[in-house]
Amino acid sequence: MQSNRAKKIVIACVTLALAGGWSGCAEIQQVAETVAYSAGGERAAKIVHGGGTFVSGLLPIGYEEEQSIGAAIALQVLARYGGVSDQPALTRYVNLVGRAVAMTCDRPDITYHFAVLNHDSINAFAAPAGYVFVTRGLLKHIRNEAELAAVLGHEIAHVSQKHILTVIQRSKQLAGVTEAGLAYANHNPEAFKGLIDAAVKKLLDEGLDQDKEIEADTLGDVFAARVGYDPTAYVTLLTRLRTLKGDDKAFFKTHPDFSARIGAVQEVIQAQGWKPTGVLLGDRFARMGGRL
Amino acid sequence: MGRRQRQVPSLIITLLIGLSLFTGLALAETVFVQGKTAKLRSGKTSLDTVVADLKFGDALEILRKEGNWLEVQTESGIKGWLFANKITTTKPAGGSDDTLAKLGKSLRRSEASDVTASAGARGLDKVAEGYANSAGITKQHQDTVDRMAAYQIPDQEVEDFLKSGGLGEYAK
Repeated sequence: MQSNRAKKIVIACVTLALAGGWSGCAEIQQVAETVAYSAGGERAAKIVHGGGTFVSGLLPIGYEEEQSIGAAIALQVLARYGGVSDQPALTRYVNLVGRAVAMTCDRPDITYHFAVLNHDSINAFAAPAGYVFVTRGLLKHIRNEAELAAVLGHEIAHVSQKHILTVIQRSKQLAGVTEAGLAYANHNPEAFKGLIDAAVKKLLDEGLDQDKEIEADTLGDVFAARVGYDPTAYVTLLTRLRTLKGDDKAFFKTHPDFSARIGAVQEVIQAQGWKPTGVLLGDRFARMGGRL
Repeated sequence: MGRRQRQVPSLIITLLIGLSLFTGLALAETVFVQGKTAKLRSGKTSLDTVVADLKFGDALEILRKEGNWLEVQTESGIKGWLFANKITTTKPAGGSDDTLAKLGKSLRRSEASDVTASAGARGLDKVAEGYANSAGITKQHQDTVDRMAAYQIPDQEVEDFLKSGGLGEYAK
């Protein structure tokens, strides 16, 4: 009888902990754990704790955790591409263009950080929490500031739409990981490393899904157009890059099917009724181009 | 017959309420600041004086529209002109933490607090630093992420950059 009663109390506490987990009330969860401990001992308290943690693990990754994840992925980008440009004027210029675009993006209330990778390949990357990289190789193919703004807009859109975080959240669920971010890293750094490494593989080797790339293209062009840059500049750049196909296999592996991407951007331009009358700023970009 | 008569006043009341709601919506369109910041000016040019600095998510009522400029009123009653590239018709969710993420953070806070204690202006907190060490990332790359995170450009300098390029509200 006493055992049945204890079981009922523990079940009630698990339910309470799940409710606490879902409602975000840590105090409810603590009360449930305390009651379960007095009724069924340490094992019962652990079951109740597990229930609450499971629910919390299903909740989205918060900004604090995103910063840890973003920094870890940024480290891998640097390790793969060998470091960033040490030219202060170039770094400042790319940050000014990037921050101008970020100020009118759909997630302007976080800080974005931009850097030029000292690498001749043609590529650009974004890590969560606003770490954005563009290679020196890609900058060499850009002709004006409007094209650069659209490229940075594309990367900003990956951050604003939390594309990489979605990949991590999915990996976590597939791996049956119920704890998230910092708490998880604290308990199991090796497993956290596994999640980051999987995200890096997706970002740098396999590339994000095509629909995410197209979403970043169209949103990025919208962000750049909001600042006043010519929205058709991005179409010009993508068309120019398409002709390079084969020169840089990594880029075309991670950013496939340029025709679909160009078509999607053109559709947005048409739907918005935009004319090719925005600002290009070829001269201002050319002054920086000499530093590449 | 008597039942139908009783229904008439309630029908009229419903229609009146519906009409008043519709009229209210038609007269006042509420929009929200989409940019990180936005300047509310006394006139519809970038040369007019700034009457208020608006923040991301601030609600505004549109009074009229002329070209790329909107005359708006803030919730505190300040009227002015705003360049139209920084507004949205739907309330922005907020990027740093949405509601569900805040719930998760609240649940995890006791376990997270000890690992974030060193997080400040640095790009790498203890978690990322631990990852760097386990993944064999050099100190040089760790310093680079720290420098990226610490790199500051004041908003006013971005504003000056827009001005010199004829961008945004400074379009020529």
